[in-house]
Amino acid sequence: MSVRHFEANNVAIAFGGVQALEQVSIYIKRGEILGLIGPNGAGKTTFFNCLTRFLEPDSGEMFFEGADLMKKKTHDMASLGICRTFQNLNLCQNLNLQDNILLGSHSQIRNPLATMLSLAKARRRERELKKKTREVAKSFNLEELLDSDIDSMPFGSKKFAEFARAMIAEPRLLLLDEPAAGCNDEETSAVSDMIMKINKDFGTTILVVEHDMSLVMKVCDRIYVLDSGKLIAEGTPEEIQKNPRVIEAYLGDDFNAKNQ
Amino acid sequence: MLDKQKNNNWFWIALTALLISLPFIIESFYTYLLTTVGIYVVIVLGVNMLTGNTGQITMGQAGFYGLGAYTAALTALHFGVPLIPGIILGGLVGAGIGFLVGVLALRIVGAFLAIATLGFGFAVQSILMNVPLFMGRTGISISKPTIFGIQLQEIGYYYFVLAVVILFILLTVSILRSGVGRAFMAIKSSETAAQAMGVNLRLYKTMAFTLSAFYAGVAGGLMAYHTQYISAETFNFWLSTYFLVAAIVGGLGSVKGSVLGAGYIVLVPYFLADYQDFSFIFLGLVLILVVVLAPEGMAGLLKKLRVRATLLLGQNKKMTDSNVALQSKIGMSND
Repeated sequence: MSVRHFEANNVAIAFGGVQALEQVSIYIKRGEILGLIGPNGAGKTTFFNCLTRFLEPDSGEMFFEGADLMKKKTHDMASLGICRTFQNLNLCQNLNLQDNILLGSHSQIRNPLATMLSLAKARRRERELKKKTREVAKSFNLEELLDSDIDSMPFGSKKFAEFARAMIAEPRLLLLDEPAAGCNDEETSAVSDMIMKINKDFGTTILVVEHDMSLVMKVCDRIYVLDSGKLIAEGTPEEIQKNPRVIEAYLGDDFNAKNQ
Repeated sequence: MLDKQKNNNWFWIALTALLISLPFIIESFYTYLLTTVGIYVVIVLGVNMLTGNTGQITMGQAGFYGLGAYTAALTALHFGVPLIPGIILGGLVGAGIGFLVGVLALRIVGAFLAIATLGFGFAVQSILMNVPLFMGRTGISISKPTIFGIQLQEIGYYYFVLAVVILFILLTVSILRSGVGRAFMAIKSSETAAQAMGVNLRLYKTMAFTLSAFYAGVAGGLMAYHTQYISAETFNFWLSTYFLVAAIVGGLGSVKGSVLGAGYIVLVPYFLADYQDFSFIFLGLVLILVVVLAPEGMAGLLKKLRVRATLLLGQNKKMTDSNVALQSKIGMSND
């Protein structure tokens, strides 16, 4: 198998007259943390939605571990080994934390009928999953909150709950949609640490689509820069920071001011 | 969590014990009325799973209910099919049609789904009215139910329905506690999140529809044997509305709520029957009050009462985390 864990070739999509993505080609190496950055409206989220199959690209192809993603549906992603978190927390309010995390293991349900009837095998599986939920919750410092309603949880814990829900399925590719959105500096730093910990402990390949520069520069091995639907640069954080095109097109004065 | 569980079990054990002893205490007419409540519990459990848990509104449940009733009645009349196979067939016919309606309803959400299911209810009633097989307004009479050749009298049928109700409550709890129930509830909360976690929306929405129609079909079959006479006029729009009101007033998404709601929707109109229109005004007012003031319905109110009672009895120290959270939610202090 090639080092290219995931690759997208010439992905393009237009909304009305607006070309949101133009021939975007990226690849992700097994085990790396890849960043995808760009200013507002650059097409980051559009690309993310194409990858997770919420959007159908006009053209292009995408492969994950050799599987043709264009032939898959949104709900197939989890069982393929691709899990995601949401930019604006998307936890289920009508489930407590434990059930929210358990929901992440949905793709392990093989036989809905046996599951519904709680047949012996399904009950055993549920017990195992609950045990696993506790372990996952522990690694995200959430074990005290397992019985809590989502409403009553602090913001930082909700962020980690999203991570826990994604990680219980043991994904090989984890997609993070602006994980630092809404976080203060302290929370951003905790999220960065968590991303690196997941990558190190579980060997999970991670794609971070992000706005927050401090997070991306800290955690990513490699970065792609999108601007107006086109890729304008690719490289290590150091290279990206020095790339004049990137500074001009996207990072601008704001970034230089922030990092010096 | 354990305390909560224990409390819940006591609720169910006490209720079951009461219901088993009741026929010996109350007049036979009330036994008949309670049997009606039991049948409504089955259908409201289904409505609540679809609307309260999965978030798919249904205003045509009387349609599935009618199909179940006619299946049981017609198979009994023409082929001498006995009680148990009759109501199972009723459930299966309901489920089959529910599956088709579920598939057709996949692209429709919210108010449009309410209208579409409403249309289904009207369509079923007009078929029952006009297709000669169903005998329209004339209706169909069927003889008393028999199990293994033994004819059931009123009290016997009461216990039979009680057993079916317990079976369906256990089934519902089992579904809702399983991964399938989680998927249902995730669909209600966020279709996007559910999909990203691997929930196949088409499959699970159709499953919820099919299940609730199965419940309704079984309830219809039970009702046919209960009244021993059915006519197309029964299965109208108002009946569908009643089922939905029962789920809302009882408590959306709560099994206990389905039981309370079914009792409410049968007993209140009965006890207010002498006051004619006042009954409707009362039901309407209560519905508005519940939606505005107690969105978790009677089951939600019971839960709050229990927390208050726990506090009054001075068991503050034993309170679990979830009770503390609940307590803060209803705006009570700990001292």
